[in-house]
Amino acid sequence: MTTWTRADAETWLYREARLLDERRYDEWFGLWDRDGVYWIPANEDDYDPATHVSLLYKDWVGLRDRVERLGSGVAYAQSPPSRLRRLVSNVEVEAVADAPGLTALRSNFLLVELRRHVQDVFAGTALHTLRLEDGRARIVRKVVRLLDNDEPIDNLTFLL
Amino acid sequence: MTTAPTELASSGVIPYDDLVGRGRVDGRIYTDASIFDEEMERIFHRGWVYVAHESELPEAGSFVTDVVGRQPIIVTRDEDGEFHAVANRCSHRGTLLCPVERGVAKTFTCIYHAWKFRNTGELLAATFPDGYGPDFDKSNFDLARAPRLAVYRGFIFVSLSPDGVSLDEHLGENAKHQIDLFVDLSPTGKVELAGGVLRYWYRGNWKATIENGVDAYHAQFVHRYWMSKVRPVRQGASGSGEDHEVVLPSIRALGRGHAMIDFRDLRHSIARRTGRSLPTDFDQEIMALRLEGERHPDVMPELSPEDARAYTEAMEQAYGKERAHRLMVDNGTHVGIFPNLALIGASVRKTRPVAVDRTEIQVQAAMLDGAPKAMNTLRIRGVEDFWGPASQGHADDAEVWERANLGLQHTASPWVDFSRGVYREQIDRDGTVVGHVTDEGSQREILSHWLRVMTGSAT
Repeated sequence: MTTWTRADAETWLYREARLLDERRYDEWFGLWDRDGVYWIPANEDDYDPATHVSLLYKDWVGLRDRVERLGSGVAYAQSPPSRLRRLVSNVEVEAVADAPGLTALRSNFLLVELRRHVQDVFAGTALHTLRLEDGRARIVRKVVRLLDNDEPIDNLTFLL
Repeated sequence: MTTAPTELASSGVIPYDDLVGRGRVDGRIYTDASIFDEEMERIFHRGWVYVAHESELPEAGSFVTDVVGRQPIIVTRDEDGEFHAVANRCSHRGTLLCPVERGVAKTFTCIYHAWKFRNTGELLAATFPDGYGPDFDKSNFDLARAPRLAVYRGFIFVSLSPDGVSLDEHLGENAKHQIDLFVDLSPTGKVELAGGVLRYWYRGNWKATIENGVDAYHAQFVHRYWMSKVRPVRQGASGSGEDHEVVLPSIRALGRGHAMIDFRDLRHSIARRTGRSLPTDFDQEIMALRLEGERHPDVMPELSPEDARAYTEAMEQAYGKERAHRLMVDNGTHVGIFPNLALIGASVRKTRPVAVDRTEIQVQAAMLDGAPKAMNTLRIRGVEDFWGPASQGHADDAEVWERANLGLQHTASPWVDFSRGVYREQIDRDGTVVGHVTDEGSQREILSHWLRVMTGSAT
């Protein structure tokens, strides 16, 4: 088992950010572990998603479906698509207790989105849990805590 | 945010009768700021408006804030369990009393000069009262109360006018029956809106949402991808793979601006073929999530046979075997209640007009009291998959409403058409008007009631 340095984490997070900015969703989906869970909480940063709605709460199958939908040509809220640029910073790395092989990353992001002449800003914290295996990192869990998760949002149909 | 004055506004009196014809409306009813102002007065400041569900106010002191039309209010629950709707405005200098959306507080104290009010609206104390002289009557400074508040099956409505039809008359037997179907999927006859809120907004007129909520014509186009997931599940449920959508849903106008997409015949035809009758079998939003591949149990739990049996038994005990079966297969409703409430599948949707071209929506999942946890989790999954800013349903609808707002700026040929199916709609035995699933009778119901309210022939 190896532990990541902050530089390792940044390299990986920048790569993920680029795939998302460029809407290379098939490649991004390839980063996911088969047991992965992707969660964007609503209203609060943490709760039991079994008893509370979320902005997005998907397993690997659900995420595969979402990526397929975004590429279907009939996801009208992304037609025309959003142009996206995100800055990732404040990266922290920690080992996951009692889970050898798992590494947790915490980072902040600032995302600027432009669509149909309107520019929007999103900000938040991303919590990644990665499985490091055979020199590759797979996403086991990604939680995106949006600053405005209890505010009305107009369009969040691109992926964070 | 506001639209430039049009010839409608500058003429002084808005010629409503010229704007709404049978099967068509002038598109300026969606873009004209002076019409929006009058809608706020006549629809939202006089009529019955949905504000909250009693499960959001579970204890003495619970409160929820809202804006009715343009009026900020606090809905409260007092010591005796009674609900009140009071102005969210200090009676002294007009400062917003309560800046948060929900919580528990038996009193509200203004931050400006510390005037303190009971949650019933009563002024408890003005600070340094001697400054107001010996004749100061603090009862003159109670918070303004909504003249009328009424509750149907847990749904709290207010009217800011002392006059007009009762809530009972406004809903009518047909809309009340649909609310009953929604609530009676719970074996205790109670739903709980305790699972958070999806909040979103769009650049467009509020009527776009309420018309769309009961429009089935668009589903196979705007929601093509979603329907491609729902259809195979429906067809697979028949066991034969054949297309049993030959039994179609219908459009039903319930009167007073209430309308629905009626899935009951379709669902009963599936139930007869398959013997299945659980709400999770018929909820379209859950169907769209039944994708191939092994699922993560935290995200998509399975309803165990024990859970299914326990729920069915609880329903049968509560309603009798025959009615329980009918309620489960009816599977709630898909109804729009004029002007701002929709009950669709497991969702409760509240629409708030902010400006002529800006609308906010709140969607909550209705959890069935007395139902297994996995059933409610599946309902939550279905609600969040279809509704909300990151959803696969609403988000594409909002794109349509925003494009409508842009297209309707062209007023040289102003008509918007809603005539589909006029020639083939029929009056049913219960007085409702029923039409083909792709017809526009539901929009005609909303717009004809809108016209009656805007011209003063209905409240």
